[in-house]
Amino acid sequence: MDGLKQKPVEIKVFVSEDANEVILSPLIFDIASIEAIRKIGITGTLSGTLPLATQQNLFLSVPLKLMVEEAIWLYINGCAKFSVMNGPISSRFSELLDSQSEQLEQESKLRLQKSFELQKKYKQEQHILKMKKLGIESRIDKGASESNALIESSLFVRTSDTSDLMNHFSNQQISGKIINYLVANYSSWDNYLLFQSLREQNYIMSPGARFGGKYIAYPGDPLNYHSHMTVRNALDYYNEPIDMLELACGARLGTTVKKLWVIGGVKHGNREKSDRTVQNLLLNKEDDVSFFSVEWAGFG
Amino acid sequence: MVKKYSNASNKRYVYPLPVHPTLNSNNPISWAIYLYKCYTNYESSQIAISITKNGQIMVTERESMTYLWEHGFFGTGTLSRSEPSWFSRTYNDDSSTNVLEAITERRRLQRLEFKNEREKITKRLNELRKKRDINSAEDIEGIVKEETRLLEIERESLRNFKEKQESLSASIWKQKDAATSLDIDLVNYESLELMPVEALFLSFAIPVLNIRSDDLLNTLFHENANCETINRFINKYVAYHHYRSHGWCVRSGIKFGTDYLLYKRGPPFQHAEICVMVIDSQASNDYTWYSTLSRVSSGAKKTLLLCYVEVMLNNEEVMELWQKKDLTTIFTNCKVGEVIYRRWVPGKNRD
Amino acid sequence: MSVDRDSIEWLVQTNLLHFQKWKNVEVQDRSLSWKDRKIKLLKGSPPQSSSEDNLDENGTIEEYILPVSLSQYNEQYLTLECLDEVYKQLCDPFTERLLLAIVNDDGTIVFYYIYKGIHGPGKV
Repeated sequence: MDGLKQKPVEIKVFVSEDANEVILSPLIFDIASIEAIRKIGITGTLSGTLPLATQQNLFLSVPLKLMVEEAIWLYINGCAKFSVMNGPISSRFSELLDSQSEQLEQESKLRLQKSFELQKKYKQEQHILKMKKLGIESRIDKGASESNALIESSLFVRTSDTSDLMNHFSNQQISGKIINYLVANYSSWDNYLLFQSLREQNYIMSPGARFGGKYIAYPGDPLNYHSHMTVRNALDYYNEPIDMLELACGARLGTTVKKLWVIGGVKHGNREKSDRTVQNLLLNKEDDVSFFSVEWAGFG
Repeated sequence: MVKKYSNASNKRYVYPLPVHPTLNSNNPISWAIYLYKCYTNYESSQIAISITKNGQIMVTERESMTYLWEHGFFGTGTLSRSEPSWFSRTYNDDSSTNVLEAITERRRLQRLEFKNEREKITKRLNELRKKRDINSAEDIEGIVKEETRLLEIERESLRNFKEKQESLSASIWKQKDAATSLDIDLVNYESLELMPVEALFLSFAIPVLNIRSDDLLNTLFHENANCETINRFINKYVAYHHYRSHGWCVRSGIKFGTDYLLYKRGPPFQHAEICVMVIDSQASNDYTWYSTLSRVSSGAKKTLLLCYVEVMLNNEEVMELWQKKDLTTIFTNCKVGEVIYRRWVPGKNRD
Repeated sequence: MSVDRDSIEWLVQTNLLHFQKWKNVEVQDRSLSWKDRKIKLLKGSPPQSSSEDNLDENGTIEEYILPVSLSQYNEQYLTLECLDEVYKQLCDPFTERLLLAIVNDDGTIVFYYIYKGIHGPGKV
């Protein structure tokens, strides 16, 4: 991943539109990039065809199409930058971005901040684990501030007050605007957090619509493993009851294809914004994402 | 195909609904009989139901349970797959299924016992064989003896096992006779449960239950039940009534994650062909919702039917009519539309 | 302890004992107040597994059973938060899974295992 951070891959965004909205498709054309991101668990879906190739549904080629969550994940982890592909309406898209940038930014700013906190927490935990492995537990406390600082510097963090941020944005390259648009318009942020949490547990996701879910999760590279689970769209942890009919469907579906039906949601409410400091996050042992896996009991 | 069904089934399920039309239009006397029957039917064959706190509608008398099952396959036995057969499964001696189940169970345990024993012996044998490879010639004789002994034991246990399996069925039949000859007080733990829509159908459309439709609904719904709940129920009922009145046997589709299953005639005759999902005509769901449903249905080789119900009244009107329990007006203002949903794969669906 | 014959706990208990042939199915005393309901678990042991190869040595598997009712028209109530609370308050720590018993209003009860967290099918 470090290599990628030094030389982020280029995600080209193809702009199209339908009756209601402008649609962005994140694509990658460069084979070396595809290989590099596959090594860090982002597989995407090959989508290129030739009009006359009869086997076009089976053997597809570049470009690699990414799920929005994959694109956001790459960007947040500093492994990718965006650019707009030339196309019939790409210029209009820039105008659209400019006119909406303020609003988009507000929406996405909050969400990104949240993710930085999660990142910090994760890295801190990893750091502690690493130190433990090296057998230098005792020094963590003493060196805490120092190592915190190191972690902070390794993050992709924008810490600025609003006006500063506005300035920063208006001068920023197209990358920032595109990510804002993606975050604000496409992925439910909770879905992204489910994706992130699964990715941190080393699962690799691919689109799940064909199997009746949001994602299909593989325990390793999809070429080597069968998938274990169908992951449903994120539920509202507090207010959205699990639909029992749907659960019955999901679990029944899973039995025939040997997959578990996974439901998950994000706990937002137990942390006020003000105490989202690294220390508090560490003290609070609760995970931010809660998953349950469902399986038919085999009778009844 | 029809000939395949046993005569017994055809005879037993001769009436598709709990009505017995005996009217012969040419014979005035039959009119009188019909009217008389209508009258007496109304008075005498009212089927008693009870409603639990939880809103579950139960029929507990055995005759009523059988009647509702035989006249259109209404309700589900709470301890059975569909037909309320727990009592006869458990106590009845002319039904052999219970006995057969018991035999299978015993056989299974015997087989398990035998397998365990054999495994032990095999393990011991393997150990001996390993020893033989290492040890000198003097020891080998002892080892060979031991091996022969073990093999003998194995043969013996196989013989025992076979004998036991054969004598088993005979002994179980005997035990069964002994049990049924004892005069035990037989408890029936099973009731027939009716879906709310079935209960409404059997009190509103074909009144055979001992409850009036408005009383039924007042018991099932709180006084302050919200509009959404009521609309949802109206949608489900309208769909249910729609298919019942087109001659389908409609049963719950919960096992396939849908609202209903449609049978051409009924569960004893053939599998359900169609899964029905009732959808409010205003509602829209995302693609994965449809795709999940369709996968489950097609996995069970059934057609997925989306049944859209449109209520041509606004919410206030519905609520007002509901308060007055003017069900007829509500239901006559509903429209039903249907769509079959099927996954289509270009590579596989070429024909 | 006698169980209210009107309750879903009783329906699940009867179904497990007399239809699914489970053993020692009892309603637990502890309860969890959730919205305007009281959630109670049952505990019991499944009959011997139908596949002879993966029988447990001592044969005393105990499962927690969570009954929920599902009607055609009433709103549902089991949220993720609620499930977390059930695990926290009504189960022994380290409980890996619950048997969810969905009591439908059509006379059927269907059963699903719910594992806490992510659980691959290989581990079952």
